[in-house]
Amino acid sequence: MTPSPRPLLVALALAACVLVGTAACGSGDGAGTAAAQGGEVASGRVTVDGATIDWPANPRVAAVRMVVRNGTGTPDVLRSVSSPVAETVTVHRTDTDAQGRSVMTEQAELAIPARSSVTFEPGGLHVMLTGITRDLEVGDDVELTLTFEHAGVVDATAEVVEPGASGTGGDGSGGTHDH
Amino acid sequence: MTTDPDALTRRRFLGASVAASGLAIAGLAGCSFGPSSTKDPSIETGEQKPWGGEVDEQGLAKPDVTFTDMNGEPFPFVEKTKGKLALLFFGYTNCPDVCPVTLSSLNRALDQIGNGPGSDPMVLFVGVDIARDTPEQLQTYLGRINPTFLGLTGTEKVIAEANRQVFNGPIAIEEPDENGEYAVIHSSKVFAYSPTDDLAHRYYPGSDVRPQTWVQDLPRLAKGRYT
Repeated sequence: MTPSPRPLLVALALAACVLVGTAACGSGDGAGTAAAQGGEVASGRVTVDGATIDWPANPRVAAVRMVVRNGTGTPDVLRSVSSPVAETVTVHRTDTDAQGRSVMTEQAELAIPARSSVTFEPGGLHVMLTGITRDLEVGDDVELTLTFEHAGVVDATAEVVEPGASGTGGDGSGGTHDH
Repeated sequence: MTTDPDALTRRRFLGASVAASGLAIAGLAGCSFGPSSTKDPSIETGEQKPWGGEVDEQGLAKPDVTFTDMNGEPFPFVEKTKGKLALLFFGYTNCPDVCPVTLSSLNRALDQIGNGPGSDPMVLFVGVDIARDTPEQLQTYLGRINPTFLGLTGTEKVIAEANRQVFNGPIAIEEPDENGEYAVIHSSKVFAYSPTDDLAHRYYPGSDVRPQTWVQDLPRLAKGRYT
């Protein structure tokens, strides 16, 4: 949290919510989907940046955080993710319901708007690996295969990092940095 | 399917001292800043750093139940935590996101605090998924994050009762997938019980809390402050 005057924070928060629409507002403290409309370089490709996995406390379950960038002019959809280290890979978003409970909702079709990025971060979007078949160690690389409606298959590598170091959970700065 | 036998009958958030706070949490689900008449301005004390989480002036009592600890021994919560800064959190060990994020955030904060006030809170993690969150599993799980964290479990009845007493929404176990994996819907609030009056005057919405929030708040909480 920034030590700013509260009214300013509220105003900024409201502005942020309006700007990014329901995506940011459904996911807790802005952690989650943040489509940076128009802010992406037109690379002509769909890419995955900064994929990391917190070294899991439960060796069978882990979450991948990353930024998916759509540098094309075509809206795309993330259809599926797979990895050789996990029996099941699903895209989830954690939301807080009206009773203050954390609820994970599977995102079977995750929209990646044209020239935008979608950030997977703690308390928001994550790729959930379940039934992990080998012990992960800090520094390990985990192969991921993402399948998009238009871009097709995109391979990525996620690095296993210290608990709390993936996404924005560990640096104390918080927020979404890509816009 | 739900694990909470009281799910259909309990009166949640109604007429309780934390009703206003509960509503604030609901409103904040998205943006966490929120309409916060319950948030303290933090200027009256001259503090430079704002507080994290939400304040409950009246204070929430501890769950008056006896859990089972990681050694399989009874853990009467009120007695065991009396006079301590105690952080209570309900979760499950197969939780991929909120639980490990919350626990590792606390762990990183404790690393930064080092010594002195707030450096040794009792961190109490209640494993609500009793089929998988056995004492042994809790020991392994928490041992991989911070071996000083304490895992608690109990019968379904005990956990549902504790959950109800802190006005958490009912715990719900989702249907298993083809591999037998399932998620559990649970409150992600961390309750900070004061060492001074054993009430939780402040609570924090799980994974929203950055290590820096704990670094700022734990030393103050350890002195019995909450505003």
